[in-house]
Amino acid sequence: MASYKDRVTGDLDRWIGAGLIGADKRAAILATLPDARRLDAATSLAWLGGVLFGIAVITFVSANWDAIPRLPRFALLLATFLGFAGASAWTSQSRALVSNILLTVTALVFAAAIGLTSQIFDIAANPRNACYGAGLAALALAFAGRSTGAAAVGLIMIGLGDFVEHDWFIGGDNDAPWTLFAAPLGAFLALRWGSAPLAHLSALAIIYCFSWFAARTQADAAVFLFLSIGLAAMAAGARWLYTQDRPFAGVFYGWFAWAALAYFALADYLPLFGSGKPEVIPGSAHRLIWLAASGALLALGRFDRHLAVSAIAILSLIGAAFALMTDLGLNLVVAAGVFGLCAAVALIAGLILRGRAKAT
Amino acid sequence: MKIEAAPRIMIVAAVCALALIGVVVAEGAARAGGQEVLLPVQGVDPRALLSGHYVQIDLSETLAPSEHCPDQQEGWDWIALRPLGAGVYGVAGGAHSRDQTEQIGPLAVKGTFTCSAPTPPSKSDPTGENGAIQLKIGIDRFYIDQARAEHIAEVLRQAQAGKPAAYAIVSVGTDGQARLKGLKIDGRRLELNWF
Repeated sequence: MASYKDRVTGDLDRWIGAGLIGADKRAAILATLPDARRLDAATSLAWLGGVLFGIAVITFVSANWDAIPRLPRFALLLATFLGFAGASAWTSQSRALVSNILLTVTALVFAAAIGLTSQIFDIAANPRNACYGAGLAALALAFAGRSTGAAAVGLIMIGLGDFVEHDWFIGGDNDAPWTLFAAPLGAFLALRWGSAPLAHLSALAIIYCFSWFAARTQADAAVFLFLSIGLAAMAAGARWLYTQDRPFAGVFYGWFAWAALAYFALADYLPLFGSGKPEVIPGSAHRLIWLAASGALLALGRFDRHLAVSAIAILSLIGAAFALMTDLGLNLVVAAGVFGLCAAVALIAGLILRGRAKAT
Repeated sequence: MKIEAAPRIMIVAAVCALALIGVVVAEGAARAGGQEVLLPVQGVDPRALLSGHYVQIDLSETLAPSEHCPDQQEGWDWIALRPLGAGVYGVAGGAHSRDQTEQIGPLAVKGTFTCSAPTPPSKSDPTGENGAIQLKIGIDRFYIDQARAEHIAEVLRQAQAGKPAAYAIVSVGTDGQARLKGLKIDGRRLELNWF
């Protein structure tokens, strides 16, 4: 997706070409706009190197270190953790990116330290609590050092804690997943700090929360429809932020739009197991709404110049068409009628929109 | 008052480190203060993973053909232990609260067990078949260096062939939590310590 500055640059060139503004103003106007943050190859390699170094440290200290007595082993763990934290603190003023990477490694080292401490002292640790503890520590470090990487580690560890020894999807657990608080927090930080990985992670975590809710309610069709509407509303909210040029709001827009369509599509196939098929919306109407929603999303994606949303809409259209053909027993005449109707609606809507655009 | 990023990071890191130390000290105190019991161990093997060497512990009690599986209440998550002699304890039953567990046996520990029922002697099988109770109390491994892990595994393989058994030395705290203190192999105690 082109950044705001890229888009203004294009517009400026057109306006200069049309004689609307002088070419001498171009540089001055562009200088008022901040450069979009791009992850260049060197930065990507620095991130990769940092994370791999963290994993190397974890592997090294976890390897067979029988020769070291218990207390020195524990001291080594703490020293490693505090060492990375200190290095991150030291670079926090002058080199924000390095500090971010170091704090991410610090969070990973602390997660490893929890597991290794229980190994050193044979503490029968609950894996779920260990993951939650590591996740909370990572989030605290993220807040302290404004580290997007540590926040991502926190979100992953809390997500792992939710999955470890839990039976939510077969109704075996009644407690709520911690992702319920971590996912919105991650989304807030992703938007506030402008982090693409955090945006993707938290969007997926939010969708996971919706799935958890659906699983708790026996994956009922009506619930899926309700959740689909909720996700569509969230996609609309993310789209509004996207149109306000809020960095990475488009990530949420794409994921929520995808999830809304997926939930809506699934609603007509529930329950997946067992007999009976309670139809909340009659099958043919469901397919028509699915087609219409996909078409509308495609138009919106094109209008917003959001490639991912457009791609999702096209895939959804294909899915809806396939479902309709299957429903109709591959009766091509009826299918042609339905597609013709949809095409007519799309054409009329397009003509109305063009008419309005000309009028303004 | 605005605190700069550097001291903020160090404060959070110090709190994390102190929390970890706190867990170690609290667990050590609880381990030392709990009631010590010996639980029979079977089916172990040494492993070498990223996390280092350990001996896998299977807390398993054999039931003679004349015995039967202990009773359990519905939705239970506490185990009642009863003394069998010489510090060794066996399973008396399962209940869903500490109070009810203590009515079944003198010592309550958090956890569950599975029981494979023994087959009593019959005309076709005059000796019957042994059954087994497997405890799940959060203790499944004992970290130790490779040489000793392999020695323990060898001893336990012989124990499975009918020689003297090995025991897990377990501390049952006032919170009902079982904590591993060590292993008793061939009458020799291998205990965890700070060094």
